[in-house]
Amino acid sequence: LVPALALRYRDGEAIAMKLARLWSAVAGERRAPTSSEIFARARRARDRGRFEAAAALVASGLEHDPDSIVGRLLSGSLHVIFREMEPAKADFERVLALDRHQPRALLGLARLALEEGDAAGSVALLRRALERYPDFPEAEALLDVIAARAAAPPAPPPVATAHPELDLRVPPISHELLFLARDGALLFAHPRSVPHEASAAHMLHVMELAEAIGIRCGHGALRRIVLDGATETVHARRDDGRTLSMTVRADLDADLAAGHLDRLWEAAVAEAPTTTP
Amino acid sequence: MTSPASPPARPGRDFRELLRELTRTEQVRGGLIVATDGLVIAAGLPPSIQVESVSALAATLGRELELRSPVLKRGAFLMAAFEGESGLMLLGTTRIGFLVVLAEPGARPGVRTAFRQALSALASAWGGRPPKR
Repeated sequence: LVPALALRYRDGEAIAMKLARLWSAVAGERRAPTSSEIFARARRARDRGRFEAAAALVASGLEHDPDSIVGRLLSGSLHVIFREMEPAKADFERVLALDRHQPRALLGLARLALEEGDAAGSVALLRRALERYPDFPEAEALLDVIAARAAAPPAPPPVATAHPELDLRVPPISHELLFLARDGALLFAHPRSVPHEASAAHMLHVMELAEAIGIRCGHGALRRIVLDGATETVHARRDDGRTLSMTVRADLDADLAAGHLDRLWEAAVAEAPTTTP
Repeated sequence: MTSPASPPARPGRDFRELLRELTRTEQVRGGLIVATDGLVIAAGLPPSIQVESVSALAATLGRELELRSPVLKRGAFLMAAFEGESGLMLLGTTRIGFLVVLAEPGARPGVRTAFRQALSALASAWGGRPPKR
């Protein structure tokens, strides 16, 4: 009856639907949404960046359907978005217990393994995903970058023993100066009193990923890098696989730092060999 | 539908509008907002670029920078610039994920300023630390 009355008006159909919904609600006919409907809403909220709303919906859906693959995947994804990696891992593992080839769970775990420094573990998970789903661009792109590193031979000895002749005049503004060969070995590091392996490995990984993006975007070989942290900034130059990076105070004038880096770069490439002996 | 009494939405809340505004900047080729897990929230990239691959790599790069910067005593990671022979990529961190902009090589300071403004808008809308000036 109510929809029929509404049809007399110009926007009859829309009004009729609204009134029908209202009538159903008043009459107590409205059914509770199924977990699938809740997860569909959660996915829409997540895809629009409404992460808190999505998380609340996922939690409510999982209460009714704790073994839902869709729900667990959404939950894992949202935990990663909130940087809660342990619960994310638990969700992805639960998905794999339900479906051992689920590609999104394999990708999620591969990314977490990589964050933990387990490149070999990450490669194995990505290969598993690609075996079953070869058309999976995200997994393929990551595997391209990581597989090369996982297969790389151990880094040669640091330069302190390999190239004692390389003596760059390090400016006082530099907190850390690294010169990396094409094969990733440290050709020069300053100050010598502290270990540099962690920052060198980080720099290499950052460049691998940035170059992989650059190739896909048509940017060509990487030349200059600036990494801004809250207290320190890294300025780097790269050519022919060699990289020189200088870490300075974050509030230091960028042009001043770049000028020092350019001078050091000229000296470094002139003096050093391209690879370790 | 927004009623006339509704307060105006904060600029960083509307990802697509933020990205549209940013990609209107001279010398900017495209942009991407990607969640920490690699999910594309909004994208405005040239059609020749495969969004899924770039988003997965950008999220991995962003996480590497976010995780290691404090460990290496550089403080929280804010943003990064990667200049190649034929293009510039800017990547900044936000509470909701990463903002990525692709621009011409040797792009003028206006590109970086627009990028920082967009990061600040995201920080003000979603929380988190705005980039340094």
